[in-house]
Amino acid sequence: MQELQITMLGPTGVGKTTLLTAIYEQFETNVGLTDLQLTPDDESAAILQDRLIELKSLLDVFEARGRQGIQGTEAIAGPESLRSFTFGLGKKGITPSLQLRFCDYPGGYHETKANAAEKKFLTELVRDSAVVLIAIDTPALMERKGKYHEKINRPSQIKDLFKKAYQDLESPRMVIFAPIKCEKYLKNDQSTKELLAQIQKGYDLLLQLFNSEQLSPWIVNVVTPIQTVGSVHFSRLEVDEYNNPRFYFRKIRHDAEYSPQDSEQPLRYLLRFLLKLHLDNRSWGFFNFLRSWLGIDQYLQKAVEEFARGSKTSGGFRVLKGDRWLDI
Amino acid sequence: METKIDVYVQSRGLTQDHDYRWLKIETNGQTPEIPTILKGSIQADGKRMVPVELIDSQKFSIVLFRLANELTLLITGLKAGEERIDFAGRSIRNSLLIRGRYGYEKDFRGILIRALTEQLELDLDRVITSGGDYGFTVDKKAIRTLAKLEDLQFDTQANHIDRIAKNTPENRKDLALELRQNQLPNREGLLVVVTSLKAGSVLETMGVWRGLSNRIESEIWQDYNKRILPSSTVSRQSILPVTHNQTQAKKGGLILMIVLLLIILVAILAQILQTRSIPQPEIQFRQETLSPEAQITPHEIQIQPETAPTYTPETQPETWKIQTPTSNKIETTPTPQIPPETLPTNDENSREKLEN
Repeated sequence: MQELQITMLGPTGVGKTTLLTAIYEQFETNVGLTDLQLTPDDESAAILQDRLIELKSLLDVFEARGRQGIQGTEAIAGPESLRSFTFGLGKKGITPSLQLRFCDYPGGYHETKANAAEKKFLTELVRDSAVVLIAIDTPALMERKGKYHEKINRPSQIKDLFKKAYQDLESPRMVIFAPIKCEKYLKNDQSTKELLAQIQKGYDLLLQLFNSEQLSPWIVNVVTPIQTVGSVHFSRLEVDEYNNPRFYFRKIRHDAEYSPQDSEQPLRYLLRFLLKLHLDNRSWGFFNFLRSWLGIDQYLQKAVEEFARGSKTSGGFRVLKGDRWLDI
Repeated sequence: METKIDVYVQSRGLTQDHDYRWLKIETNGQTPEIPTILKGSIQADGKRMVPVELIDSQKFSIVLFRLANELTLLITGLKAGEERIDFAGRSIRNSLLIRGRYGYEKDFRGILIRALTEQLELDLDRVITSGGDYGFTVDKKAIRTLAKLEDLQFDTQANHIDRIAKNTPENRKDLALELRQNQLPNREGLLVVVTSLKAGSVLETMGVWRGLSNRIESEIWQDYNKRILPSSTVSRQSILPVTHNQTQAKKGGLILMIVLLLIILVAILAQILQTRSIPQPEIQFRQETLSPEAQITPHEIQIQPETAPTYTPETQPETWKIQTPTSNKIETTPTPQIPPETLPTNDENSREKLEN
């Protein structure tokens, strides 16, 4: 089966695993409405189900302790031991014809203390992924005029990583900015505009890199805000004795339940991107499989198109760069 | 815990720049090092496996295996106390890995029992404090006392029947009870796995001695592999009750055994009486080739040859290539060839030999 790799990118604690869990939770709900079918392998499902239970249970302690996020990711035996999460994608009722491999990793690999093997692993992960989702801790980006953005989201380190990974690029790549824990900032048009402006400001060096002569032809940039819990809002910020900001959240109602919003949007954009590459009918390195995946099955292509057309373009969603790679 | 046992602890600090990492705990310090035994795959008891792939290490999990006469015990997903929460308000986890010769089996059992009875979580957390170069520090003296917290008075030979069941608190207690009474089996390969991840069929394929998984339906222990053992080992096996679930069965088994012995006794008496009345045909044994032990058990015993344990790490082959060039094939006809490790030995003597 053909395989496509997707990386969840971001420093430790920004919410990569939370994002992946929210995506998993909404796969069935949203993809199930079309003729497509997305099926996790047994072990991916077992792990993500455990994370989902943990994420849901966190709602009970938001009020009391303002806790956030599920447990941090570890690599028990180094980068090679990291587990990826695989999903078979295809038409309903038949064996999946494409495998999507989501890769998560310990955010500590961005730190200065990370060893050479960990840094190399991360560079290769980004280089070999068709799509990279940058998880953004939105309160860190937005509160106190972004004072803690650099400390928490590490945009400079991320820019340096792409600089290394995208050398001599010869095929298109999609980089999705995914602000999470962003419920408060999607309340109205004004707050949504501020969020988009702050993303462009907070990642200006990275966007400049993507606009460079070498990379510009190949890069697609999209912003897809994802409400990873859906029923909690940022409430206040405190700074601890180590000068670390602590972001506190509260439930919108006492009995509010876990209800993530828009977490299937990255997948819609991914399929839109793949469909466009296929329709262009050109040879694109590791996208060459598209000819056999979509070319011989018109029904599958139609189902993919139907799902892809559901990608949002307003309410905080925006294509920042590379419209032509999404024009179907 | 003996100082000849390697000890590693994985945890993280409170701040963003102190992510999860392993520290090797030695008498003269603690240094960052991933336990090499966890890297790549290993082959033991004829089966290839990647130990860390058997578990979701972020959940409470256990892997115990024996390779080239060394035991490795990995326990993961132990929660740190409330006061150790990372910068993002997330609970911190601790993991422990110990590795040493089979001669220290009792230490390994002690730790394993503490883990299965949910005591190790607190034990380990007590010896870890925040701070230091890597965000956490381990009390190197205190950690070596963890194994001694269990007073193991019984030391009966292991029950060699392989079993799996659903990963429940009751079954973990059952296993702890068994380990309080009986030794770990003296064989290579995967001995204990507690996982949230693997199907029962995978644990069976791997030949695990005791396997618990969230993905197994049956809450009752299921026997799946009754290994054929040399008669000397079988005769020394425990007849103590193993688990709550099996206590009644064991009692019944004991009664059945007594009844069987009586029947055999009656049959032998009948045979003796019969031989006195019927002339016997002449039977020739090749007694010149048989050892005294073989004469005691004249039936043929065949043990399937076990593949010699080999390390085949993908990263450091030069330091990991361990081969034990022995064949475990045992035949009592014409001459029994029983490897020394399957013969009954005095524990103290064997420990001395190992240390020499």
